[in-house]
Amino acid sequence: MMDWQAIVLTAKLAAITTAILFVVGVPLAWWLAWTRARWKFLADALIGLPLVLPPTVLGFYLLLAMGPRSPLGQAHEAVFGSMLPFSFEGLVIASVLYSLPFAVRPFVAAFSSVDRRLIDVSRSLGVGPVRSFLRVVVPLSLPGMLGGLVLTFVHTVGEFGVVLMVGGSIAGETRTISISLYDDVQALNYAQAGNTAMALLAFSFVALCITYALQPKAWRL
Amino acid sequence: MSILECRIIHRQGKFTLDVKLDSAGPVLGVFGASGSGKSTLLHVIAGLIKPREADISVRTRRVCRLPGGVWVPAERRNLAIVTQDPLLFPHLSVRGNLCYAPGAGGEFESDTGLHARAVLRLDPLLSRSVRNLSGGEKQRVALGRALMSRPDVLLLDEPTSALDSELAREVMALLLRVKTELKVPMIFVTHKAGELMALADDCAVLESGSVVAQGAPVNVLARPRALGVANLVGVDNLLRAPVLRHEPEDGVSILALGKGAELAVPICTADKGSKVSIGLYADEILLCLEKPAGISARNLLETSIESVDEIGHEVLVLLAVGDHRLKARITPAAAKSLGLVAGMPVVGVIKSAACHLLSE
Repeated sequence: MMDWQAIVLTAKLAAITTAILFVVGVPLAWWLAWTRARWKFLADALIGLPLVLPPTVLGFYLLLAMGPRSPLGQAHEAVFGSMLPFSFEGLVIASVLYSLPFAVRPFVAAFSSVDRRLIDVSRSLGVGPVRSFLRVVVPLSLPGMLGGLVLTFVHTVGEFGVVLMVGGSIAGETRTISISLYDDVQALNYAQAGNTAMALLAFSFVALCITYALQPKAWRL
Repeated sequence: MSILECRIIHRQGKFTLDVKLDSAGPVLGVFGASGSGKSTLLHVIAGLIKPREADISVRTRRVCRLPGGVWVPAERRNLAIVTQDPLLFPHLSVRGNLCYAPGAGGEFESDTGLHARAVLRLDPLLSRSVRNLSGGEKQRVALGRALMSRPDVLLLDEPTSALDSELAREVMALLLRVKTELKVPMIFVTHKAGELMALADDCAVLESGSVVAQGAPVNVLARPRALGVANLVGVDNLLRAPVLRHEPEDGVSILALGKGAELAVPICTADKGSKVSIGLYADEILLCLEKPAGISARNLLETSIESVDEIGHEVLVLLAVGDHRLKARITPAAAKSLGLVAGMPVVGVIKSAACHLLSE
């Protein structure tokens, strides 16, 4: 019997994280793809940090940043009357930061593959910048953007270290499916751990298949 | 009617575009080597590059005045640009590209739209994906897409440069029909003198970001007055020689070509002893075996042939005159009947009016 509560919670966390990263990541990636700012490398490095940083390090600093004495923690407590660490909201913040590169990097790749001069042509034909973006850039970068979203979702489903550090394992609040698997193993409940592991494996494989199948077939002329 | 009235100052790194240009068109040609700033000029006019200082009116409508706060964005200038790369939208069909601009769908079905489609032979391509078109077809679609937006002025940025010579000729023929039949004014940027001669009514030559000459193409390009223009057009003989004396009563100045050789050119104002530049087309030199008598040409230069090269349907004869070398172009038949070979003495006959004084 699988831990359905954990599955629902994980799906909710991944969906919210993916939605936030879509809203935040698209403009950020658009800027990264086109900017000529000299310090762009700094932004690249910062966004890429979660790729190389041990999740426990990120989790540790997030705990500090969300703690009751931090401005963020105090602000949250003042507004919502509860603490951020070991809460679902805290988990969302951690997931967004941890999955940032998994969304932004594919977005940047997708935007960079669009010839900028197409936007110039579009504008010279009388179509404003926002509509040019929607009519030219979005359709041309759609496969790459969908790939980024799938990747973000899957990565959030599978994260463990940061969740454990920031969220712990509170059923229905912060116990995601990978934590649930860990708890099962700790409890020597191998049958259920096996089911969960197999389900996660299958899910991840299918999601990656979708990601690769979506990769753009050379749009360029 | 004026198609363009502009004064632009724009710096890009070390390059400065500093242009003042008025033209009645209907087709204004902008001629220059690569790096002369002609493409930048076109992008500033299109509103795709924001200059530091500019006052631009296209067909008497002011689109930019900086500083001063007037800046009509590219999408509201009604100036469609066609570049060297066709830059078609790869996710749309040919029809989707043609009907892309606001209102293009209506224009597509209108009489002028039908005419444009016929001129550009677009109808057989309509349902095709643009990815499978040939280079010439793509450029036809790009032109059609621009025309369907009913531009006030069509901006062309070297539209034939990416095509081989046969397709380039085809596109030029289409542009001529667009000009004469559809009557669309154009600003046409190119580095090919022949294309300007064929299409432009007025022509501005750009060098290092400034206009160095302007006028009818035949005057500006065939009889260049500036050294830069002569270089660009490819005038065969460019000489630099000191003024020996002026002969105002005869309307000529005499240049010293070295070793006693002299060249009479239209009278100039340069001081005696100072050097002037002369451009001379190879076709303007006649060759004689003996000094002819009773001839209007002022220059009968006794020279010797350095080399005779047959290139295609013409023969290039290199002449040694004083310290200079002159290229003369004649037909193979003439070379054969005179029996021209290297080392032979000949007389080079040159009208002084064929020697164009060039400003530097």
